[in-house]
Amino acid sequence: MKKNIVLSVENLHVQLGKRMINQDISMDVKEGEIVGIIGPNGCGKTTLFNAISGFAPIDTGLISINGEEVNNFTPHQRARKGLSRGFQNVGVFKEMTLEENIIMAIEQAEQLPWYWMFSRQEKKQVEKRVDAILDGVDLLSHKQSLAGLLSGGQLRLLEMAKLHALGGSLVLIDEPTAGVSPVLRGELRNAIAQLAKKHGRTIVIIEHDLKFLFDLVDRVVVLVDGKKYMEGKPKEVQNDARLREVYFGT
Amino acid sequence: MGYFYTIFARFLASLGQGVGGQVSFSMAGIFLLSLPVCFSFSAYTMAILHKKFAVVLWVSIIIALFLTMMLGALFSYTYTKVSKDSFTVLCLGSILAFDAFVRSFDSFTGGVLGISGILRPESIRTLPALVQFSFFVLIVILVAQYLVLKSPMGRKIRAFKEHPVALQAFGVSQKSVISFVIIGGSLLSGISGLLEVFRIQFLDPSFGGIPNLIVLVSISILALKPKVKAVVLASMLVVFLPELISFLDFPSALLGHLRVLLYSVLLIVLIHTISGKSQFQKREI
Repeated sequence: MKKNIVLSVENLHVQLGKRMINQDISMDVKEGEIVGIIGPNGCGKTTLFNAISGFAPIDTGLISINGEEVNNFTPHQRARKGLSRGFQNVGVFKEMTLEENIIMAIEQAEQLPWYWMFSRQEKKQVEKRVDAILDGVDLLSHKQSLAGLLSGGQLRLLEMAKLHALGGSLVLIDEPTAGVSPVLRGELRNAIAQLAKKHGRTIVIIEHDLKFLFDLVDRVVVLVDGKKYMEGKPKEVQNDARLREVYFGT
Repeated sequence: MGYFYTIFARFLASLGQGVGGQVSFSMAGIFLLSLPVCFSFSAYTMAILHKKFAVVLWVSIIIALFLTMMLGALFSYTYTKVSKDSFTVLCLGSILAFDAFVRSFDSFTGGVLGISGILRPESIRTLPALVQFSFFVLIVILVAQYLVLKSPMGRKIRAFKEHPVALQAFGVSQKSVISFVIIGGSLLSGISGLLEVFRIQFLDPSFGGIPNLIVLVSISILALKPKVKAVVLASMLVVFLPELISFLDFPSALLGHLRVLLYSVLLIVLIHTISGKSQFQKREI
């Protein structure tokens, strides 16, 4: 069965100030795929995410989400079109409880009416969903804690739970292992894999920990100096001589 | 009893404005220093329409509140177009600009002499009736605030203060949150201005202004927690505390100045002790 293209980027150019950050980048991501983006620091990975999610203005090129061109859409409009974005500095609200963070995501995903919390039945249903989502990342026991009290790794897990609750068909995750202990990296990998395999999300992920990434993704896009250097299966990328030199010094 | 009613009416007017301050300053992190302008603007608009253009009092009130909301919409639009720092300076400037406007256009505003003999509506002509009416209005405002705090909008406002970029990634329009906070805050300030002018039945350029701003900021800093009781207690403290001075043996001419001095000292103490938690002027990430 032919899979739909969830994200399409065509000939994207992004210039910030006088510097061209992304040059002529094209890529397609198919439904249910996990695609990794790697490249040296400053090669324009996060800028590419910012351009896709509408936080950075693009010069030329075309971005489509689920077949719809979104170039002129604001970030929140793109989110409503099914794009969920995780951030390098964790996009959760630390002054809110874990429960409130997930409730906010559910409210947006399901467009609940403003008075939903005054309906006992609705409240029960939302509570059940919150519990299930937090349990999925092993954070249910912290439900009433402020998110700011969590460790770096737990914050990342909460972000994964939030991205799950938001329900977008396309999920962008930026450096999920930053500040995460090796113990929690396994859990984080499972959470991301579940988003794709169990919940059918399409995922694009930026990551510096190549072992973590290669174990997780179906395909890798390599950026060098703002341009797409190559694209292929993790094995193919690992065997590329120039990349081995850049990343592994061999 | 008259003293009690006067103080209670002042408390209610301050509380109304305090709710607007709490939502904008403490919850949304928007340093909306233009609230005193809205406080004065609604009172002057109502008084001018009623006294100079003979518009029916209740109609003047409704028009005044509508125009105050429009003024809020203008501030809201400005907030989306300039930096946070510029917006703060612009709001402060608007207080001075409004003061200059009131003093200059004396054919409408009465200039430095002001507008005297402002009548209350028939149904709230006496002070006790005004206090009862104000109390009813404030109950409605506090119930509305409670509902907002519990609702998705309450969470969006708090999220906007902490991480506006992540909020957009949730699919929430920043503009909708900004408009809600600034227009809502301006309306509440306008309502408070009307309650206050009906209490004192007189308007001059000192109505609202910097002393009012100091009271408002003090209440907002004290009411850091997004709870209704926080703003009620903060308003109580800020309004009733300076009343202790009136029981001391000071010349009556000095009392007003001493009250402002006390508010200023209170504000400095608050800024030193708890305002750090409010993260005013936090930049977007």
